[in-house]
Amino acid sequence: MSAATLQRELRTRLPKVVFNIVIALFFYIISGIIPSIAGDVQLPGIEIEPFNRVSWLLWASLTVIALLFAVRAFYDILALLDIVVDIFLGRFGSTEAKPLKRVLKDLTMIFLVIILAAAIAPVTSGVPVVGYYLRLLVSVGALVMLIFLIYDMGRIFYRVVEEKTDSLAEWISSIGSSKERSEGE
Amino acid sequence: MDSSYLIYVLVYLLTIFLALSETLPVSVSALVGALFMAWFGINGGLFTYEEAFSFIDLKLTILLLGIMIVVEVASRSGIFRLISLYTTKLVGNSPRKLFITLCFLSAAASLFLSDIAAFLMVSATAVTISKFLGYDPRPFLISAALMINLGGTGVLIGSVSNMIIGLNAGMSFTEFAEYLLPCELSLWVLTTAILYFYFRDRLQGTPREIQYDVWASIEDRGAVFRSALILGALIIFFVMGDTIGAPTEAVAIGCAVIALATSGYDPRDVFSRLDWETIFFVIGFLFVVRGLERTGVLQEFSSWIMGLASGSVLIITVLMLFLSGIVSIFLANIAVALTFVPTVKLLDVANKKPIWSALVLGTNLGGATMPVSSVVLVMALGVLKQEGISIDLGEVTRIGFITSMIQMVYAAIYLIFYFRLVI
Repeated sequence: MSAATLQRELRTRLPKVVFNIVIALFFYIISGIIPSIAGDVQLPGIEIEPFNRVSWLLWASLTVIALLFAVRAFYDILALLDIVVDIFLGRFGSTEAKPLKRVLKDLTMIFLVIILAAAIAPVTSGVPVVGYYLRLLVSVGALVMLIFLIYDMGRIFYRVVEEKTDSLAEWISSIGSSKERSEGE
Repeated sequence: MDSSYLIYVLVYLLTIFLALSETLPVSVSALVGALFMAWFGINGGLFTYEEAFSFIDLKLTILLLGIMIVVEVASRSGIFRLISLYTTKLVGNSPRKLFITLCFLSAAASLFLSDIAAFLMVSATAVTISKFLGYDPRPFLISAALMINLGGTGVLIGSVSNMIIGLNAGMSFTEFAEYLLPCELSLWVLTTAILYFYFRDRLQGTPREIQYDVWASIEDRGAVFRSALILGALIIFFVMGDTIGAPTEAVAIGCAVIALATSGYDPRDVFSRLDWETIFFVIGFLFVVRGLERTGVLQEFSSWIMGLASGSVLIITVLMLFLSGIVSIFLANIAVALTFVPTVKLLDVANKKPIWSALVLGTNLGGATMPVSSVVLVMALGVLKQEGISIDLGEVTRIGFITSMIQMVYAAIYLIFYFRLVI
């Protein structure tokens, strides 16, 4: 993953993210306005509160639409985050493909980030005037790096579970198809 | 434990993870850990700058350097290769006899040589002979790797972890051998029997006559005799150390100086071949452990062991054996030894000899359980791959696991009876 890939992805995904967030926000806002227009009008035939109210139905529909756009935006953000994390970790030499080793490297980097931040703290605090801001900068930087590393670990865990689930599903379906075949014979 | 000490635990973990994840070479990982420990320790008031220097164990470093120099000079003369070829020539060419001989030879070579050097020597012999005679080299190489891991368990200079434990326990060369050599020798027989039983069907072949001159590859016969003399002197002085009042490290460095002075080899060549990676790893990791010791974390670990065993030496011994053995599967046994040494020192027990012995056995025996935990097993797989011979990794793990577990159970029984822990 290179910076050029990130640029390309940013060009295609960023407008989609902005657009989806704007639409989601729009529907979220109107979900607070439109239902009130319907007042206390109730749907005939449905006796269960609050599902029989038109205002509730409108609110629920608008919220679902807002959620759909939010999910799409979230998906694009995740895709961008994946690239950013890959570029970031690649710069630190963490390009290991084997899941266990990658997790081990991430864990090592987590320890290193915490220790480095703790080691730098007394030095930055001692700097006159900007000491506080330097320390804040180090803390925020360390926190961002920790989030990236933890996200990478979560991502690896997800991929491993996904792979295992796929192979389990394949195994179950192969059992099913072999049973069908034997019954057909 | 104070929560402010968490950073020191993190430094310890970072050192281990840097090495384990292969982010940095092991020696550099340990030195990075030492650097952080010094920074936090001195700034945090855990120890002073002067005290930090006392964390470097000069006696241990001298012992390591001394033994490495003597062995390097002896290796260069070809004495170990000569012994190896002589022994195999002596036993004839039956695959089963050769197998048993090679097993014992591997373990014996590891008494003096580092595991890697011993394997290089034995594997060259094993591959050449099995190729020449048309035998399957797999049983020979895998067994050699497992036996090399076992070899040296019973002597102070057998492995770096032994030197660390022996020196800290205050054991002399003879005391160390007295407690552990009988166990090692019986484990040679037991392990060879297991390996023979496991591989017996593959040790087939028609014995063929082989003729080779064992001295052919020796350039300087005088160097071989000088090396034999120095090795002999090293052992004699080690054994007589208590009587003549010469500490182990003094004997080692003394013999190293004599070896360098009489060998005629360029000292720069000898020094460049020393295992500096191990030396710096020991120095750095020991620094980290000594720093951690100051926090009281190891004292708590020690108290936890005491509590778990209710103060019983028998339980602590067995616990130490299996705990150090299992941890050695995943961690370098030097790191395990360095971590457990202060823990054992802090134990509130009058007779610690069985516990020290258990630690020696655990750190040595746990190392060859899986290919990932044993450098020699990895080397064996590498040699087989180079020869174009396929190998089942599962089988290597299986045989490694079987032998390690049987060895540990046997070691537990040995310790219980040898030290009369059951009354």
